[in-house]
Amino acid sequence: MSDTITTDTADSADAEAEPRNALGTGLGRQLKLLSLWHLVGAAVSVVGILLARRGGDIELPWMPRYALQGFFSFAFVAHMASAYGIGARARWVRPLSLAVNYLLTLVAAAATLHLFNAFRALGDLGEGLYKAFIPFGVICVGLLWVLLSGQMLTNRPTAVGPQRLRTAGWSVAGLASVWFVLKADPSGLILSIGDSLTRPLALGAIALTVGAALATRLMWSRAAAKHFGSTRATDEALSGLAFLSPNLLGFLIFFAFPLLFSLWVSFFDWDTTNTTRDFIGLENYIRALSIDFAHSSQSNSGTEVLKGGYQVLANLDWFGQHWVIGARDVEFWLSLKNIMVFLLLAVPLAVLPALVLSSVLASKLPGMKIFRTIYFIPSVAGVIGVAIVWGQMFDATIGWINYLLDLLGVSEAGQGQGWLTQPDTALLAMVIVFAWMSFGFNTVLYLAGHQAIPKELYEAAEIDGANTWQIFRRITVPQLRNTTFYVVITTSILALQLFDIVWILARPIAGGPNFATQTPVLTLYQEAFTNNRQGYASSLAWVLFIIIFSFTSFQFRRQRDEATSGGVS
Amino acid sequence: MQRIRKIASATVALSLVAAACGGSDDAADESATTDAPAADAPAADEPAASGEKVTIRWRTRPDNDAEAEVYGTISDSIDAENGDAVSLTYEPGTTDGANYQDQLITEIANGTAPDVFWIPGTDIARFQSAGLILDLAPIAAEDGFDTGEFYPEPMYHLTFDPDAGAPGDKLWGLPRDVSTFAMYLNNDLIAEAGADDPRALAEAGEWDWAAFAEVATAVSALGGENKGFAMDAWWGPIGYFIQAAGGSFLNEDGTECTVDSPEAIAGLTQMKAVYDGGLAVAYGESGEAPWKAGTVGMFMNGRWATPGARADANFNWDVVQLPTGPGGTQGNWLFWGAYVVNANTESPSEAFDLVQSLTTADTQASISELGANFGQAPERRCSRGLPWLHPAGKRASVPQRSC
Repeated sequence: MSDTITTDTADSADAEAEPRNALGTGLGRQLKLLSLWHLVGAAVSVVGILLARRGGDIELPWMPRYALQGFFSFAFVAHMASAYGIGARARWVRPLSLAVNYLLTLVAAAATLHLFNAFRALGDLGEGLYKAFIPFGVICVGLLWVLLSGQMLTNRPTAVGPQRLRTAGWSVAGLASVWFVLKADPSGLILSIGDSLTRPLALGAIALTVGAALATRLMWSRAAAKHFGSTRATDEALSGLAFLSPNLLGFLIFFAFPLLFSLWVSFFDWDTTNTTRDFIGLENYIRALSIDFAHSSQSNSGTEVLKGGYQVLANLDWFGQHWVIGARDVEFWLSLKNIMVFLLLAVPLAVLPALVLSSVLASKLPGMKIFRTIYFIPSVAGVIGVAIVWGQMFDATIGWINYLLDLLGVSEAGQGQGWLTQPDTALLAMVIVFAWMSFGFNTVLYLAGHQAIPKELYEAAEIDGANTWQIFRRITVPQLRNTTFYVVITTSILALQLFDIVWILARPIAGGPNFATQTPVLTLYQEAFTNNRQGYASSLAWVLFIIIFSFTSFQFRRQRDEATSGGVS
Repeated sequence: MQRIRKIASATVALSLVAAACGGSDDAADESATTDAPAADAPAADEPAASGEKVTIRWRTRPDNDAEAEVYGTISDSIDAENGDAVSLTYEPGTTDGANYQDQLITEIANGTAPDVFWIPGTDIARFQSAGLILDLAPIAAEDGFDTGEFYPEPMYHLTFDPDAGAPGDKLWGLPRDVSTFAMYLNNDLIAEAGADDPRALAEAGEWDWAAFAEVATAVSALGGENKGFAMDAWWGPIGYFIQAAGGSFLNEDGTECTVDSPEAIAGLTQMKAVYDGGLAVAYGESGEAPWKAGTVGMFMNGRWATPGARADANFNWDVVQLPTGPGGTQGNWLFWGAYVVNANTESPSEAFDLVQSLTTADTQASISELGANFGQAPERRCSRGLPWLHPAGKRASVPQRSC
């Protein structure tokens, strides 16, 4: 209804501003063609829907079948609306037609590149460059001479030397280019392009790309904007969207879609190898979260007191009473317990030293810049490398830590602590590595926070006779409250997602001795890629998401409450 | 305005009628190829046009760059022999971080896995039951291929028919190699401890758990960092103790776990005693590093420890068979892996040709001579008398069968 009103208004407004015979002009003819283009697009979309629906031997798997049907149905509606809107000279048609044609251009261009093996050719190009690396270097040298001579000639335009250098530069670069082409041997690439050009599908893709690009250009033009009575606000919004589109499309395709898709997958019994795919509703979530308490007459009872399908998670003795806690997925619950312990230990260790250290580094003492760099190094080092080095340090027999303890006389040679292989220290080892890697970056964040503290506060405190500890406690810490909030949140999220350190460092397997280093993300990975249960793994991912989300929103709420109640003093 | 509406209605009606009435695949295909390349492009790509060159991709899990290079060379030489019809591409699998088999399964699910790949023997059933590998029996029958040339133990599994519950008319792949565990010895350390030489004990038929414990105790008694024994913590070494005591992980049908049988518990008790007595490098820690550092008397491992030993061990070392347990056997494993064919390969016949080429005696000999699979028994029997089994006089594995 509102569309009709808009259209009518636009019609009447344009009728005054522009003679009605516009359709007889060049733009009018082009718009007619564009309208036809959309109608053809609608017809092709219908064919697309029917092709996607067809059964028999060439029936598509259900997912692409529904996805393609959805895609073509959407395309059909958009094309029909565009065709209608152009005829009706509706104001809304310009953004719609632009969106349709712009997206079509992108898809068709990607398809064209694919059909011409362009993505694979990129690899060939790299290989060609590798093979012809010397001639490539010589070309660069030649061009460098040209550049140098150009610089010299600007100062002395008639000098003979630079002119000769320029000639020599061009000659060397030219000859090296021939050498480059011979060495890189692009004949395969040329033949492949020639071969693709003879295929109707490839030619069709080129035609579609060009057509859609022209249609986009027509709708983008000022004349079209005027014809459809686009407002300045619409134009600005369209420009904004156009600039945003590369990032937005990337976000939608590679982030938002997989995210929502994993939610969908979590409701299925979905095998990686596609042999099983049954809708099971919330069963995955129920399995992950199921827990059972049972009272037992004796301590250390087993599964016999639990419901069927449950395994023992823990045995508890409370005031002479024996309790057994069971879970259907013991590994997941153990990993939750581990990650909570990890969080409680790792976050303070990664944040508090950073807070103290940043106060030292923020001082004007000589050499502080060097120390800032040194403390930042662990943050930029690769996790895999760091974990391998720490693995060597923690090794019970040939590790540096036990060696140093031996030297200090704390332990005996050959009897050193198995840091990674004993259940009581394995997680602690992970905490140390995580804190070591995180606190440098946190220090830098705190240093940035220090810059924002007004110097007058410190001056006033000194005049009032406050000592260093009082200044730190009463001024630095409260003033860095926002930084602390950010640092705690980001470090906690990283801690809850612990995977890579454990994957490399844990012994003898990733879960560590007796599941001591089993983490939720590790469980998720093992379910998805070792046990091939994608559905269950997806449900674990969403459970983990809910935990992290709750934790973060709790922190946000606390921060807000503090802010409204005047903050820490 | 009216005209455009009419055109629109007519177009829709026509296209619906055309698509519904035509219905034939020819008409539909034509539309797809001329009008809708954008959406159909990925699926319609790569037509298997006749006469087009077939490319076969294959993969193994090399232990290091040198081994990857060896397989690359082998791939090139088979490729050169094949002529122009088939082209081979070798892709070394990853050995660090990512799990080789997990990555393969994900790639198969995505349709990007290679045509031929090597997997450990323990994964054959897993890949087969998930429908990921091709039954090569029909192609082998066409070629008149004889599987009798291979050791029967791996072939039992590679021809296993799950429906019949016994080997049958199936062929899931061809084995690349077989090897077993051996006990790597630091002769210098054992001599220093004044213990009996395990090789002499084995010759005399006295190499059992009691003798093993004596040697381990003597070496550990040297004190300091010295330990009598080391092994890595995974099912292989643990399984040795169970099997040597007469037990097994599973019952004969493979339908029931039997690690709680008295024999298995006796084996595990012996293993625990070795650790509790302080005779071994701490459980879970890598055994290889201290062994190479010269502080371990005996190190149980497979052939894959040999290159490292040859490169890094600065002492007099050798290998001996595993000590016989109370079950009266060595309880050794037969480790093997096989080349298998991706169930979704577009060129099964060419893929099987490659599997055959990779398992000929000549290829296996070349691989050994080029430096990979040190001290490993090539799979095919009666090839060249296995001279490469003894590089530099070090027997790295004890083949269960030889010519």
